[in-house]
Amino acid sequence: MLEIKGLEAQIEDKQILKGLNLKVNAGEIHAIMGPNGAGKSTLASVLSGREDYEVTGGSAVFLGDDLLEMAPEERAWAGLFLAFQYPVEIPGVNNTTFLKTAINEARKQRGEKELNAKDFLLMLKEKQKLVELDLSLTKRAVNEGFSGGEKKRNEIFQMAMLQPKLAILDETDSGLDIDALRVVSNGVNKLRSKENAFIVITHYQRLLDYIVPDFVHVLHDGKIIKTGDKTLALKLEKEGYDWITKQPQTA
Amino acid sequence: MSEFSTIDFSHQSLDFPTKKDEHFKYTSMGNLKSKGFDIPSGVLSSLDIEKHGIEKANYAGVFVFLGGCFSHENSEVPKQIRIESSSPRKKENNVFIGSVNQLFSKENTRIVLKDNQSAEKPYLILHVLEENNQGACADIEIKLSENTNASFVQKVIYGENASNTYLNLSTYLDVETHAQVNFYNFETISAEGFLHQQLTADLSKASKCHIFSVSTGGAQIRSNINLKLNGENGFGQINGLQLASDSNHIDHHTKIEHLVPHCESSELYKLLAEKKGTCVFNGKVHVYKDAQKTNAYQSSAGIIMSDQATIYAKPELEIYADDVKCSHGCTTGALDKEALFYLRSRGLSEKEARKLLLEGFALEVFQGIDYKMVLDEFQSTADLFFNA
Repeated sequence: MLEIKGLEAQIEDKQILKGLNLKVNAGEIHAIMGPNGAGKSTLASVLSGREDYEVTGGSAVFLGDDLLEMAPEERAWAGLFLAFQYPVEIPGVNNTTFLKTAINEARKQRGEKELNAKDFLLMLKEKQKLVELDLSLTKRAVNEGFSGGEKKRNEIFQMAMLQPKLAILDETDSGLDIDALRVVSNGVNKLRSKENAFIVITHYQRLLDYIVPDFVHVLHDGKIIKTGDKTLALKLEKEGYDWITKQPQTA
Repeated sequence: MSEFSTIDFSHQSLDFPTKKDEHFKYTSMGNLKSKGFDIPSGVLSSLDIEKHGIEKANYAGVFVFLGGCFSHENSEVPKQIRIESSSPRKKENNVFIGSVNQLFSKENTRIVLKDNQSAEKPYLILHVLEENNQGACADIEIKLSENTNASFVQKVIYGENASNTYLNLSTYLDVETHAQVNFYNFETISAEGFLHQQLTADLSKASKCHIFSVSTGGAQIRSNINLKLNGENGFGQINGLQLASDSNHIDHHTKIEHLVPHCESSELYKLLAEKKGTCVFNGKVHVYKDAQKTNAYQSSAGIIMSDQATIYAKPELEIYADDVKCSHGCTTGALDKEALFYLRSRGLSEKEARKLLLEGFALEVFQGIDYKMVLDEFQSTADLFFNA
């Protein structure tokens, strides 16, 4: 589904990603862990097309297309979704209007029929229950005045509505209490299937108790330096990163 | 009573402001100096107002002004309203816009709403300029007697060829005790047109006045909007949206005066400048020494959409009472890049995302408007700008 080879990226002349390789197949959940400043959020930003980052080398192919050449909205139409670490408050823009526009824009691009108001509403009610998002929040301005937990639920709600093929969750667990964490994870687990994939970026093993990954990668200094299964996350939780990052690296 | 058939800006009695004049620092009157505009007679020749999307049935009454004069033939005055004509009012401040009106307006029109009236629909005040190079000065007074409740939509419509035009409106709202008035001010101007306006509301005890404006197009719009809170427990609101594109120059100077205790005022301006457009907002709140327990809120925000666009925003607070709650906020910047990326990452095209953000930003100004028809018209005026 996604194949990243030798990805290099910088922001304001500071090299962050230094030759990152990652392959994600349909049906898989990949966790990316790593110390602060390793490049986790940069990876999410580069994959979703944030303009502040400049790709200086390597490639990323998503479902056969060159992802790095696509505008952010084209990536969304192709089936990529980023759950933001810090969801943006957008006063004056209604959550429901925005979602309806987004969904129908994507459908139009894919040559599908636009959703009518009734079908949209049915879908909205179904997905809103999935992430236990208060219905009143869907009627408000996007994220405006939402609590931290509500913002993250809204991200997962949007993901459920947009039904992406590949979702990147950028530290979705940060700032969540246990209940919200459970709700968000349940949402993800109900949405996972053989057809879609997730990249879960996190600092904490805790999230991976709820969303069980097939692979755990350690990102350090712009590269993935170790890959394992879920037990790697448990070991990191116990022992920290030093035992990996301080080892001489093999190419 | 003016005998002129032309608004002649080279008239010797006109004293043009200079850049040194604080209130004309960003808006020059200089380019009018050599100009003259024909004042049309008070007869409508060919213009069909229904063709301009105005349906008389949507209004409780229609007051048409031609060449600045009230046109009985073209208006529809309901029974409960009295129209009085007299010579133009003496303008209290002898500033430029007032002087032009004083010199060239032919009559004063007084629209009188008697006590305890309220209408289901708004009234329409319609100024018409049919031909190119026409100009008009109107002098209007609206008397809202005790306990009346009324809304006015003010619009300008132009004939097909009327591009280079001049309109000067002087409007005085006399809001008596317990009266309520909404004034919806559509400043949509012909391509090369000028609009100058002095809108003043005088509020008595426990009265309310809400003024909403949208300003777009033309060569120059300059409106001075003043609220005088003269009686206790009064409430005044001035909200405005400026949409400047091409070489539009839009300037609103507002002044809210709290003269007595226990009044509240609220002001919200949104300024949007693209291409070579210029927006100016100067908002003054003056709380007099005796006006204790005043609540006054002012906020203005601007978005600059191109390198050649300009926004000047200046909040002014003068507070002489010591037991008041006053706040003001003033921001100007570019469109929020992070918000734009957020929407695009969800699959909105850049154009669509931009439009949604700008709409969301702009339309906050019109929150609280009761009439759906009026709200829709404000929205569609804004949409014309966003879709251009």
